[in-house]
Amino acid sequence: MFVERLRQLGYVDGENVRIDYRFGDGRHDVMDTLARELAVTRPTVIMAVGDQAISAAKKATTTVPIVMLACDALTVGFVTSLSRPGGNVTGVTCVSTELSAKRVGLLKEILPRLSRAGIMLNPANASKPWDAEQTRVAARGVGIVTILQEVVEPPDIERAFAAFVKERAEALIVLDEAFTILNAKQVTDLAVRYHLPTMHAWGEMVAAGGLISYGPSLSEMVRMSAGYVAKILKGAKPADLPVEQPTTFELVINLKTAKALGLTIPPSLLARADEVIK
Amino acid sequence: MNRRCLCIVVAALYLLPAAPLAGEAQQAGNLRDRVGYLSLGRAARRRCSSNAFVSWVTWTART
Repeated sequence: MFVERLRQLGYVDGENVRIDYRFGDGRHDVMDTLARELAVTRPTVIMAVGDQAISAAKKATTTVPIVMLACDALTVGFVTSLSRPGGNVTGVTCVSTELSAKRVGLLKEILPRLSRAGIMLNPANASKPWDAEQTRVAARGVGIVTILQEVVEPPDIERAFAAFVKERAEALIVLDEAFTILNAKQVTDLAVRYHLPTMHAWGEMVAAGGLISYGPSLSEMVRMSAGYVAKILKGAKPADLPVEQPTTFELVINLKTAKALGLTIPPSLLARADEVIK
Repeated sequence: MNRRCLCIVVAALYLLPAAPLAGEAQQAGNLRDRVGYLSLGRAARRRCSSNAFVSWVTWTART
């Protein structure tokens, strides 16, 4: 997606640009090292995907331009202003505050009597504690008590589900990011096993077996990010490029999961879905 | 195989892998712009690219 968009913008990997990849493979502890490895090679620009990558890249360099794909850049402090980011960081970010309330509302549409919900978050992701707080406030506003569980390593997932069950959670809001997506199968399988309908941020989690998601279009965000990279390759300065927000939001519902959980999705909600997995 | 032939074979084995690497290095040197790509995710395996969710990189780069 990123490579394809760059190609459309005139930059072909191996022909007129070289892309050096560094993947953490889900390990938070290696991100700083990987970022330093990239920074010392003095690339024209660093594309940093996700909060951990952005944090690491920012620590590694204050001069190499960084294009971020972030969850909540302003809240986390990746930039001080969306319109004038200043410094060496710009890119694309969503704003979790509005999304948190929307997700809680959608879950309540499916489960009108919902009174206790779990929130699963990875605290190593800088924006997630804030997102969790926004979700907790939104839930409380519609009479839902929330149970927070943190997951950092894969064994934490099973432990978190045990805690949700013990605390009598009736649904689960997963604050998706790299860790949950890397462990999507485990998260969604356990949710079905423990009979917990799940709300997600990304449609990819619903494709993996989650119940419902609402969030920005990842493909749009990646395409937008590639646009920033191309502009910087053409000579633009990151400080002069305002941070943009995604404009396309997707509602995805998995009817197979709904059936497995014995749930009926309201027709009014199905009619609004951008994608229904049958 | 006499000793001379053996030496040639051994030398060839060393040189063969080096040739494409040298070519790549030369090509890389010609590329003016470089992009560093950093993600907590997992590198894609090309064989699995049909399953868009197999790798985190589908999220990010090579789909």
